[in-house]
Amino acid sequence: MFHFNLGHVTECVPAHDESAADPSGLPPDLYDVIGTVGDDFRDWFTRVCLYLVLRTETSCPGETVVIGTEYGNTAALARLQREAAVQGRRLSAQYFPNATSGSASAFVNIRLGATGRNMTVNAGANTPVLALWQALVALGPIGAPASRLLVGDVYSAEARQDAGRAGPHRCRSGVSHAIFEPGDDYVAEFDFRPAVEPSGEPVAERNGAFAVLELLHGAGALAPGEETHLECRGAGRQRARVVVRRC
Amino acid sequence: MHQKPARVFVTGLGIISPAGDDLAAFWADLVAGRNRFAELAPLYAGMKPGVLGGRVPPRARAHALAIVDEQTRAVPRAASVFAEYAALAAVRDAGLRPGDDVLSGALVCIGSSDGQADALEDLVAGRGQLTAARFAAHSIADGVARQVGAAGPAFTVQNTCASANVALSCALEMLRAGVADTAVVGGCDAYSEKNIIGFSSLHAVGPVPCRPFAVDRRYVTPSEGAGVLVLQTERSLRSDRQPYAEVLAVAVNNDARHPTAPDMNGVAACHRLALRQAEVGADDISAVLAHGTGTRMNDEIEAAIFRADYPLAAVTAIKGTVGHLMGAAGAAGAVTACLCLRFGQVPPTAVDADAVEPDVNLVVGAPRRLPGLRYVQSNAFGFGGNNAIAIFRRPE
Repeated sequence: MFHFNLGHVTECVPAHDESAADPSGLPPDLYDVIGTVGDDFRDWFTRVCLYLVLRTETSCPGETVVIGTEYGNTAALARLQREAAVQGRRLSAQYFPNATSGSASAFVNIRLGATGRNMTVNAGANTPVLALWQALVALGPIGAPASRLLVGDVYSAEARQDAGRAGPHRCRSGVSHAIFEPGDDYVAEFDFRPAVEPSGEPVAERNGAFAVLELLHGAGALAPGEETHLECRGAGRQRARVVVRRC
Repeated sequence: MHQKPARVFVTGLGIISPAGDDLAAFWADLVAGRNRFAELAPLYAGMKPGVLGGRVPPRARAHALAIVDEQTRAVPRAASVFAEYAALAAVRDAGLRPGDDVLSGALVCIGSSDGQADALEDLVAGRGQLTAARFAAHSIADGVARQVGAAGPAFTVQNTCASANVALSCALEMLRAGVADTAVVGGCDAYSEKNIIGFSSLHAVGPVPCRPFAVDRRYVTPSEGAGVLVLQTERSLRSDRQPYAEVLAVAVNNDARHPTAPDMNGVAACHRLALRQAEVGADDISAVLAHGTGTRMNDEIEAAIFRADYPLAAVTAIKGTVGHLMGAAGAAGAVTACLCLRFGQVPPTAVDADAVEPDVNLVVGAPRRLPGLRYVQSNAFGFGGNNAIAIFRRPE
């Protein structure tokens, strides 16, 4: 059980035309917020994460950053491989730092000056609940002054192809962002006990960003004593449920 | 009333590495300071010939493949094969069997920097046997959970080369919070073309083996494999089994300074945090498994901290022997820490005594006997300012 206060809840949901390399419908102030230095080497997941965290002005040293994502910086990883084949000796050393599975996290931490606990978590369909658990535990036993959660994906062509192999489901790009602080406005109770039967149904919406948004926007609208919940089902009998109650 | 968090113990170990497919082979190479590095084929026009790397030997790979289930064999992504094999070995070492009650609600947390690299790389290049295999990294943890019969939370953590220690931290927090009583946790990374290309573009790999803390050190030697630990809370321990170690703390922080270069302030802060969380002083630590990548900057920072705060601790770095297992590096360190506690000795770093940075209490030559060894620290750091330090104690 974790007690917390809920700060900003924001999202960035680019439109996605599968035939285009880049998403559209991006915020008009994107580059005003994230800057253009080194942008040639970033992928859209890093850009969107940076936009969300830098658009909110609050940040404090020692804060925790948890990123929950299924595909993360896949686009940059694939690009490094392709560019090496094309550019050979001319391959810039700047590709690699942007092309690790933790690149979005690295650049978010650097730009925020966030020196606390950080991680990139991938639990498949259970990512929203697992990532939320990791964000909230940082406020409790670990004692972080604040905890920041980013959940979602900006699908590259490879990611879309991979997700399609997991079953028929909606696959929208988008990333949710929330800040949690120590306090007693809310309490979250988690339940990871396995389900009795394996999950047979693929999730309707692949991207966990939207489930997190629904949960946290719902929490923001609760009156004292009311509660809302989110339950996810992963591979086999894996189950993850959180109930958020307004105190 | 505030409940005291559960104590957590390491009860099983499993590893697959360039040394082979079992603990004995791993420990034998460490104790002998023996490496099995070989030249890697250039992957692109910018990569110089003669770059050294450590690969899991073909016989060990074939053995692992024979042990994992049909579902994994049908689509043999190397990271999954390594992680699942190491998990099964760790479970067996803990005196458990897949499907045992103690495993049914276990949590699984696997750290990996490069995930299912071979599947993604085959897809991108349009070649190979894995173009139709899924590459999403959670499939690594899901596969381990399936192999060991665990239906608790399963997830993959990606914190570059600190991944396995961060996974260990996640598992420790979840066990202490009562999410489960057993965890199957560790790290894995298979040979990744993208990773070798990346290190090559930084001129960080080359024809000379990794020489941690040597004055003339130069290169990282990339390697592959997996290490897995079974963790159990005190109440789930079997009375007839002696744990390897108690996990006292796994501290995680971030430098927030530079995407590739480590930062002294951040690394030093992680050391202080680990000691505080473990409720021990630096003087209590008798042995340190350094991150010791053999790069100028990493080893310079660690050496300065060891000189200042851990002058009496026996320091060793295993990357000169088994190479840099990337996201599994922390798992290899954790397994080594447990074996140090079990055998009361610290394996040597594979460098000559006269080449060592001044005033670093590095174990070289023969293993150092430390019969009273009680506390061992294991460091893992990574690109992106990732720092994670684990502290283990010999069980009472």
